[in-house]
Amino acid sequence: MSGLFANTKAITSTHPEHAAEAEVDWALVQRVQAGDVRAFDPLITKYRERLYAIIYNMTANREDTSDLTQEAFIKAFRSIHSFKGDSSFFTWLYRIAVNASLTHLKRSRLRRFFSFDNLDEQVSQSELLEALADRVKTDKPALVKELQEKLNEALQRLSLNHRTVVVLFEIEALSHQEIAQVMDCSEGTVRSRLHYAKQQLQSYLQDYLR
Amino acid sequence: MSEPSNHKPKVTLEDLLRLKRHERPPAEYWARFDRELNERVWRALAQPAPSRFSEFWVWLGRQTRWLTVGAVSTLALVLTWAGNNQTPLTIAATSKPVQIASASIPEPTVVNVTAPADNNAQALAAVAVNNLPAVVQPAQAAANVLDSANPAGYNKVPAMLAFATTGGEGVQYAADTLSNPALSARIRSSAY
Repeated sequence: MSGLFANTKAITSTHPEHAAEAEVDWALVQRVQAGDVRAFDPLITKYRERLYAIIYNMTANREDTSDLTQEAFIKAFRSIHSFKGDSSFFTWLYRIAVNASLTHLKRSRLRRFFSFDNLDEQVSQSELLEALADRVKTDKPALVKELQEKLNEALQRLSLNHRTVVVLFEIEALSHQEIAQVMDCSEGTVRSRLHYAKQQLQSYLQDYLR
Repeated sequence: MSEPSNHKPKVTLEDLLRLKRHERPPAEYWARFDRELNERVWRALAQPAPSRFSEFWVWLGRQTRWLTVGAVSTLALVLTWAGNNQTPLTIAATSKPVQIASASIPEPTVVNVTAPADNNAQALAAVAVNNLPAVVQPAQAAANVLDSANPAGYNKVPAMLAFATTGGEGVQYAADTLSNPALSARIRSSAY
């Protein structure tokens, strides 16, 4: 670990690239804390797509996602002085985003509707979709749309905590340790939630898995 | 994706979930995002961050809001009930003749309206509050000149007392402007 973390209780990430990222981020955060607010811009540019993806996969609504992503950055900016480098900046930021999503989802339980982003064009060329189209005997454009709906529907059927671990682990590729930091729980809890969530998803999506 | 050599490729749950990494907004979306975020940041900077003290008062306000709503609703119910249960004596004691501002305007007749006994919903709505004296605003009263003819079985009140536009059984209202003295509310009293 570099000297930047000398005075912090930085937790070793299992992802080496995340560790390198954390150092760069910490330097930028320190500049923001010293008053150079423009140093926050590269952090926004770097994390906006990832934050968007987390919130989108939790809410399945792109309008809400837009709002919540901006809100997460504003909250992070306002409380930047409370970030002491105990964890990496991105887990701290992810936690703000996840909490904002959970608060929003709990508040708007009764009046929710889905609106999806389009799947990347390249996906339709993938082997996976070839295999699925062959299996379910549907043409690819229709399959892509159907799959997107079914996936989102299946995720939305999970509880908020289970959905969060699946999104962070399977889609965002965070480690169990990082997810535990984001969700402020133990690694054991992360593993058991993930196991249960995957069992549920297997049953919801069995038509595509046989 | 695992691919056993002699079989069709096996699709796993993880494969499906990873598809979601490809759900993303178009590239041009981010320019708008940056612009909107910039505006929000400036707006947020212009406002002071809420202190714990002020957050407490906001929280307290939210709790008392419902208490206030409850208290007002209860008061409204009590007043309505009290109004429904006024005796003829109280009515006579509380009703007053209409005061007209201009001396040239004839004083309209004040008529006490009694509630229909059969609780017809529309009629009740039309009468508004049972047994309250028909008090007419001076300016509006000036537009109403009650004609002296009073067909048997009808009591008349000034048109602006037509609270409802549709009357129920036994209640008819003029729909038009107050400036037409010929139009006036007629309430059939004998049915009640």
